Amino acid sequence: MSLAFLSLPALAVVLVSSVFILGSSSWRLRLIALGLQYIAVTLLVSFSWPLPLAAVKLVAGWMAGGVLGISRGRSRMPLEQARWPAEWMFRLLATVLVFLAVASLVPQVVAALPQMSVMQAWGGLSLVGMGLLSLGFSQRTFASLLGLLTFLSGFEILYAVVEESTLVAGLLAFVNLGIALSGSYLMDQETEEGTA
Amino acid sequence: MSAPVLWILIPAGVGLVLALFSGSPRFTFTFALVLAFLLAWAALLLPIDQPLAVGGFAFKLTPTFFFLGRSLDLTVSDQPLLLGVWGLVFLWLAGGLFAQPPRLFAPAVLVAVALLTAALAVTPFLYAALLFELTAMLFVPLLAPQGRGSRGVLRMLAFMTIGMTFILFVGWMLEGAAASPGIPVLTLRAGVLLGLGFAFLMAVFPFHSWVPMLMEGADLYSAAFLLFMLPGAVALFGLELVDRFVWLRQSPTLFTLLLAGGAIMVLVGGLLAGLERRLDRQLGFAILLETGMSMLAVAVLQSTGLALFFALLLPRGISLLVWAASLANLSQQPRVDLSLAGVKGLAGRYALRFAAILMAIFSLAGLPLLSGFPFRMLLIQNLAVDSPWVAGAVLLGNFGLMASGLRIIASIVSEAPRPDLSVAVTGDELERARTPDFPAWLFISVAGAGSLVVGLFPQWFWPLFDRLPAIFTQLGH
Repeated sequence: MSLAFLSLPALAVVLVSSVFILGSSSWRLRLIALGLQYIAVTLLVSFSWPLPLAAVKLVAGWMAGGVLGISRGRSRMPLEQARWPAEWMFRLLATVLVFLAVASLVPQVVAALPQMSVMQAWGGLSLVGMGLLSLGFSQRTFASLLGLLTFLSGFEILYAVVEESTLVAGLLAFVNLGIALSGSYLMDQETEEGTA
Repeated sequence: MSAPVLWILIPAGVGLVLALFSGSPRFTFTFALVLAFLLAWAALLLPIDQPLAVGGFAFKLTPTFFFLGRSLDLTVSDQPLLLGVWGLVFLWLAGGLFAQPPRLFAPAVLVAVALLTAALAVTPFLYAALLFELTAMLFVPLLAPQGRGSRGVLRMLAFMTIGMTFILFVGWMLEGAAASPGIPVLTLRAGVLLGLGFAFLMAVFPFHSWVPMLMEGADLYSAAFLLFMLPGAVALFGLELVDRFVWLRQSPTLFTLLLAGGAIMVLVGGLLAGLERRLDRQLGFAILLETGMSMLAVAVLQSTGLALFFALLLPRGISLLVWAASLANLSQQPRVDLSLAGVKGLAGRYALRFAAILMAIFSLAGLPLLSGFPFRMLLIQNLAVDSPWVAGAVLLGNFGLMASGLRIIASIVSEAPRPDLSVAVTGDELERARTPDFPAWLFISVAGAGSLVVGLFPQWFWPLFDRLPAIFTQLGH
């Protein structure tokens, strides 16, 4: 059964979730957004991979999100909140800039990789850009890890087009879990005063 | 039995098992030391792919291990490298008895070295990037014990992940560029992505910020070991790619970029080390300087060959080991703060440790008689022929590193600040002050003698360095 009709909704979920992860101050809502993002990533990857293989990304992503959620729930770190209006405006402008950059890159990427669809290029490059943005803005471990996982998700969409190896898929899933576990360890060690 | 089983799977398996015994660090360290020694001995004496008879029992170490359609290959030309690697691992584990790193250090070292060896032995080569990432993640619990240093660890994780993605993607592009080397756009894209990937993995300027950050907060000895082994393995992986792809090997741009990048790394690392006020961050900047020296050694390989690249690894390994172990041990002493202000007047109380640290610094800076001098001299001489400005930058960077040592001397021999009389000296501190420091004596004496031997008689070690480039089919000849 072809899932191509889901490409546009998947892209919409990817874009909205990545913006939400950057902007929201609620860690629970961010994790929910990450979970939805992984569904969308799986759909976009499934246009190049068989669906059972693409589902590995969903499973690994949700496990990573679960690990981060457990650690964040135990953590007594205060929420990281952007200041209104200056920091909010800056993040919004940076997000617009990322999307503009992606818009200019997508035609070149699709021309270089004809087997990649426009939706995959948009989704992958957007997540890469938003992930890097989240990494750059974040001071706290949890937010940085969300940014890193977002970046990795974007890369996996792009890479799925050129590499279909099962072993690579497994190892990348392992890397996702490893990042979550490492981050969980670091969050557990964080003190109330901030990162050490 | 195959060679990858012996030098990759066995240490990885033993490391995982030893992790279960981490509650007995003396046992895990001893076991790991014995294993490292045996593996180094095996690399020296057991020939790969040749029949061997021991008593009535005949066996052969085959060079290839197949798994899931991929292979790990360790041939007879890799044996000198295996000897060097496991010899250095033995020294680092021995130094750990003095530095007292976290309990999981010995098991993690075994697994990490196995992963790095696998990264260099695996076919197809793109799996190397994933193995480098796994090695970095493996060290996270050691680098941030009790939450210290998590900022640097997180940044390291981020940069390693970003570098891994570049290398994975370019692994696919390299095959296309090799099939069509006449298309400049393909080779340019592959080259740029490759350069960015290695820049992230090896902390090349401007992606170097995490190194001193990591050294400031993390466990010093574990961080120094990781920052010695991982960039070295990544550099060897880079050389493998240059060896494999003709268009890379024949690209003048590559060597120009290595020259420029190496010079910047040496200059930035050396000058920042000279200006830095914290001893742990100075070690981080010295590691950046050494990365730059490796890049320069590769940049001049057309005139010197690859032996110089390998020759620089020995004094680096010894000096970083001594520096990190002594600094780690110093940081565990009561009321010692690792800033220049914090070590004022401590020359008398911790003379041995500071002697070791200074010897390591001056060795890396290329002071005559010490282990770093002969090979640095050779490199600078070769650089001066075609690139005098680069040679000047290297000298300036090394002077900066030397200045950091001189600042430490100035601080430790200066008058100590008045003691805070409101804080009572504990019985433990008095007891420690009275107890002769035999482990420190032994470690520093052996390390110092080793550094002098390498510095005075580099020709004894050159035959090993001359054999190492044979692991590369094109670059080694």
